[in-house]
Amino acid sequence: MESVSVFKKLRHQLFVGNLLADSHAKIAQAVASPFGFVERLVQFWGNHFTVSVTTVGLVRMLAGPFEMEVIRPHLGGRFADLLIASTMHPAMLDYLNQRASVGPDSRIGKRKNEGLNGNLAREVLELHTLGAEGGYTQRDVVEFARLLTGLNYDNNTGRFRFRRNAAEPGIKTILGRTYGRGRPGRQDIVAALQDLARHPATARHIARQLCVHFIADDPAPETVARLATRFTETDGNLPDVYEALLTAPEAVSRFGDKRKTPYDFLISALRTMKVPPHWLQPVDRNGRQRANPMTAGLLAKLDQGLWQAPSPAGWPDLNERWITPAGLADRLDWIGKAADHAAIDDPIAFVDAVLGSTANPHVRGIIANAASRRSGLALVLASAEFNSR
Amino acid sequence: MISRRALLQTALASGLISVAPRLAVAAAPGDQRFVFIILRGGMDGLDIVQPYGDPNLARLRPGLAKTPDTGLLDLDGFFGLTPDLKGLGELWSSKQLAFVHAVSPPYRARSHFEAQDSLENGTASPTGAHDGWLNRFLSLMPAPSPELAADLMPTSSIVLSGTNKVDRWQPNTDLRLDADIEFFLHKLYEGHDDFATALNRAIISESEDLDGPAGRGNTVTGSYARLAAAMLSRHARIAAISVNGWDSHQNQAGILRRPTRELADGILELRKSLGPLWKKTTFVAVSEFGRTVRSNGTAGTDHGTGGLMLIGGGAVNGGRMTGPAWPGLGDGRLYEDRDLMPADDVRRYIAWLLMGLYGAGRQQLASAVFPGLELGNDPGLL
Repeated sequence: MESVSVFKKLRHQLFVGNLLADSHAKIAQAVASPFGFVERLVQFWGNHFTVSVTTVGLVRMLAGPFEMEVIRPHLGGRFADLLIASTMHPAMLDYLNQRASVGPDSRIGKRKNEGLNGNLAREVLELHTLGAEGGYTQRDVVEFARLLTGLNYDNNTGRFRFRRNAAEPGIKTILGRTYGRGRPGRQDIVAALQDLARHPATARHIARQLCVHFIADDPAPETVARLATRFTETDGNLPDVYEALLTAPEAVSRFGDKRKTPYDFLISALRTMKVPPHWLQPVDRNGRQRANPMTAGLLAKLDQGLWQAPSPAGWPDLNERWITPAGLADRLDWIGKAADHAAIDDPIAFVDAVLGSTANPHVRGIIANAASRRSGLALVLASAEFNSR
Repeated sequence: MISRRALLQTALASGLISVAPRLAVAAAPGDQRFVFIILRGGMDGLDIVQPYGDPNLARLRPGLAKTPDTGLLDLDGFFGLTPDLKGLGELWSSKQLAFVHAVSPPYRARSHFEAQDSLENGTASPTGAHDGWLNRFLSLMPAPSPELAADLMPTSSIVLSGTNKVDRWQPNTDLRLDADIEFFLHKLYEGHDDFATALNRAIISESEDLDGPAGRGNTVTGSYARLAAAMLSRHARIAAISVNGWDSHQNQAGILRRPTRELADGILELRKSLGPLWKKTTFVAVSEFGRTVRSNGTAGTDHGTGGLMLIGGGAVNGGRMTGPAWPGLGDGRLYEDRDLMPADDVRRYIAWLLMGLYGAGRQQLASAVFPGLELGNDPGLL
């Protein structure tokens, strides 16, 4: 009995405790960070390279580390490096079943009669680089899947490992380029990922994703082209691409066109209020992590639970997905509860601090006439202006 | 704080509800209601509807196999319904419930998550599509609108996800606002149509949640069913619900008591709350896979393949076992020598229902909704 209860405790710690701890750490960091744009980029790239704990496997423990080890260190560098880090991380290998992929002519493949799993290969092409319209064929997917065999990680350490016994030998041709002339190894995969990162379709795909996330659901073609050009000119140097994004005329003219996702809403609302510390690091009497319906719990309720995207395509980046009757009702419900805990002195000063120039006289007038300070605070957080960006 | 009922009255009194934009009733594609119930965890079809007339059942499932003498509700002299679902017996005798045995989705490995993803995306593979078949089906409707379909799953589900907008609701969404805030909110959202529309519809839905014809369901599924009925009584024509908890690796008799109660309560609550609309309603309840034919060493069963589908509702021609010929449980008859043979594809039955209920085209069902599905002959369930 003893060992069973120890095992259960350990399993709870690994699968529930870690995820809760990672969730609360992520929220606390986003709330405290002075670098708001970086935090938004973490969300963007985390969604672009989705790993989701809705499947079984090690990814349940590695989704948080994936963000710390892949997304944050590379979002200020070259896209190719971000792509390589993502494609080789154990969380991604686990989530997209790469470990199950065995080259049919590899040593293991011949012995065990196992075969390719094309999941990671397809999603890298369709979602991470070229995009669905990127002009690749099913043949490219299979060839790329052949090339990716061997990507694996060590069960004991959870670290990346190239498993040569599973790697398919021989030449692979992807989008007209050949790889794998010598002994199979990590270097061929890196070369292919670098070529994919440089492909014009990738520049267009990433440019469009950035514009849809940061500017509008339907960005102008010239804005997308502006970012794609910068991407290509700088060999995918992301800070240059961000600069092209932030200085695009449309970024100014269409300010407020995007609705905040549940995550954006939660983080920005928490940043406006002095919330009690136990909201951000909730622990029970024994010091163990516990769920908090006011932070991570709200996200689950609003259908955007942390690291729980429904598919490798991530969360849809469209306004209509988030401003729904149930979604708005749950936001208002949360605002009502949050307003009970957060004190503000002067609603008008709060409007100035939180909404600034986005609040027109109409909005200011409504909030100035609110029946109580609590109502004033609630109305600011409920306003269309606060829920847009 | 005021109750939601009072909130509705406030809104009505202020004249705000009357201007809420509505989907014109004429735009609703037909009058039929369709409810899809996902039974998550792998329901043991052989326990729910037991082929007690097959002599192998008692041999392979000591401790689990029953007969009409030990509690089964005899269905047709060969199959019997588990006592846990006897509440549905009345539906069976009034010919509003049919069972389809030895069927499964086309996915063949035995992972819960992969199998559920496949069942929901309507293909043979968990990665066969990113969207759900029921969402793709909405595209065939004359005027897809978010009010047409209600997703009532507790967490993100795939079956109604996709390019068509869908309302997602949970019965515990509780909109409590001070009456003055409510009034100010409407003013605040002037000029922001998406917020104004969402708020108006939230208030309407909330009020129906309380004012529905039936009382509160006794179970979680019952309350979801009641909410589904409220939405189906208005503009919604399609709803999706899930019932969890079927993964009975050990102490199966005990484990199944809760999900069967949830399922029965959900279906009966749906009938009660829909009132006269029940006769235009069809539901399908199906699991990602069945379970092993042999019971295991812990009085349970493990992940299998062929399973059971429940099809019912006032619109259904039921009261009978239907589907493929019984594949049997004898030697050499089991799938991979362990599971009930999956003798037919559950998608075929769903496709024929959608064709009959909404006039969906055969060609589109076999390409856009369920890519590559062979529709075969009409199982005649309507």
